[in-house]
Amino acid sequence: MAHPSKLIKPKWSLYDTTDENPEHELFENYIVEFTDIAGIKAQYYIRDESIEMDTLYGESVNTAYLGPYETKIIYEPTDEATMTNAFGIVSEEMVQFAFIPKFTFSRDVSAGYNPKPGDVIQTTWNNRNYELVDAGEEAHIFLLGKMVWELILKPYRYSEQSDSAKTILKTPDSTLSDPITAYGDNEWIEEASSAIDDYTDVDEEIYGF
Amino acid sequence: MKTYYYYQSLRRTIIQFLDLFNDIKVIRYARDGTTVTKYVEVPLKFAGKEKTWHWIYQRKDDEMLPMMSVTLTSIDFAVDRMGNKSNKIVKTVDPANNLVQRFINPVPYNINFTLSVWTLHMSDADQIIEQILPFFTPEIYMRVNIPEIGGTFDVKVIFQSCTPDITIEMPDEERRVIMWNLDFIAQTYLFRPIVPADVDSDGVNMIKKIITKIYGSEEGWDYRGLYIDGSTETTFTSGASGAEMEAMYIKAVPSGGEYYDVDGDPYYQYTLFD
Repeated sequence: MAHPSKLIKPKWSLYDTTDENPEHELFENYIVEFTDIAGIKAQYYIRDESIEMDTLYGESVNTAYLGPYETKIIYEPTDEATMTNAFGIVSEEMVQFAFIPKFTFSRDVSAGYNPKPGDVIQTTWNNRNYELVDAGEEAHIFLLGKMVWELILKPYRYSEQSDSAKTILKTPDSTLSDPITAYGDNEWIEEASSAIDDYTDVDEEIYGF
Repeated sequence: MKTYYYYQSLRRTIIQFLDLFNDIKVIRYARDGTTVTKYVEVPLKFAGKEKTWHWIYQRKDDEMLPMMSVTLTSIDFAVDRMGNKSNKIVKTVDPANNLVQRFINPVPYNINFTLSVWTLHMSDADQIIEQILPFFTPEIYMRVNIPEIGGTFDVKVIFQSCTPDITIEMPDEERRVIMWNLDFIAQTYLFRPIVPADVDSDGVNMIKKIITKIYGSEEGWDYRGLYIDGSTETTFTSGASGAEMEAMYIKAVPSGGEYYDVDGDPYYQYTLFD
């Protein structure tokens, strides 16, 4: 026969997220405080949803961002493997997982907004930019379920969408006046080609120019 | 293949091919989606480069898009464009001194290129492709100049295909990636070494005159002779050739007379026998 005290069920559980559950409050305070103390500083950029999107392709070329909002996230930097391919050095396969308590997110970023793919996080300690690929809340379901956003991050992709997109770059005021084009050999190709033949003595229309 | 030479025909073909796609731009709008803010020139590069180059000239944390890259995928001999393998092309390099150089017919090769286009937006890919394809019907021409041989030739570039590689299925950790691969064939030429214009060695000298003789029959050869201005007749002796023959001609022609051409060479008038 079990001890009588074991027959009495607790009146609360961690999954009870109502205000009437002080243990939940305590636990939430714990993870928020832990994040504030031990978290890694980050700037959070919300993708501006007011920008009209192209219905056909489901995209907005002139994407803009709101923020930045200073906050802290929990993540363990992992090896960010890069691949050198035809386009240069890319980190397409690189994935980072980060966590942020929902309360922290509401307090620091936006109270009425949930993280979405397309948002951008900049970790200030190394000035790396990451694009949210997915936001979930299933991680650590037993202890932190429904209390923490789990963020899947990939390298930020810049395409001269807008001025706010440019501000996210590590060095938006770098010496590269035109950062995108500077990543190609265009200027060199132009000069080298002209040195080979600049088509000045022929009708360029023949050559499709 | 024992003489070093390098006319950069391959390199120049690559550069001229890259230049075809050098001024492609995509448009950017203001927040309202209609006001144009700028035209962005799409970066273009040839692959692959050394890792060092990328580390020096490129950041490695953010992905900068759109981007275009050209890859040389193969080089094939173009048997259908091969001309006479022994035919020589002669170029005059010093007309004053009658110096020329020659090279054997250029050898046709097809260079297969893949132009890869990587964009963040589908509409950017649309713009890039639409600025390329209409110019290929399905070919386009570009010029390659090889100063070493003193010549320029046209290279026909033929569009082959355009294949999208776009992410449709995206698990949690994936996102949409848009790439297009455009395949082209550049019909270029490679050259064998030039025989230099050097008369003191094995070089080539300019042919100034060609004297042809036609004998209508064996009897004509046996009794070959020539009439010079109808007044003097000289008969070749067997085996006479070169300077010996010329001496005979000169002997037969009054010196300093009207039978010498402007170069002082004897002028001959041949009459067919038989």
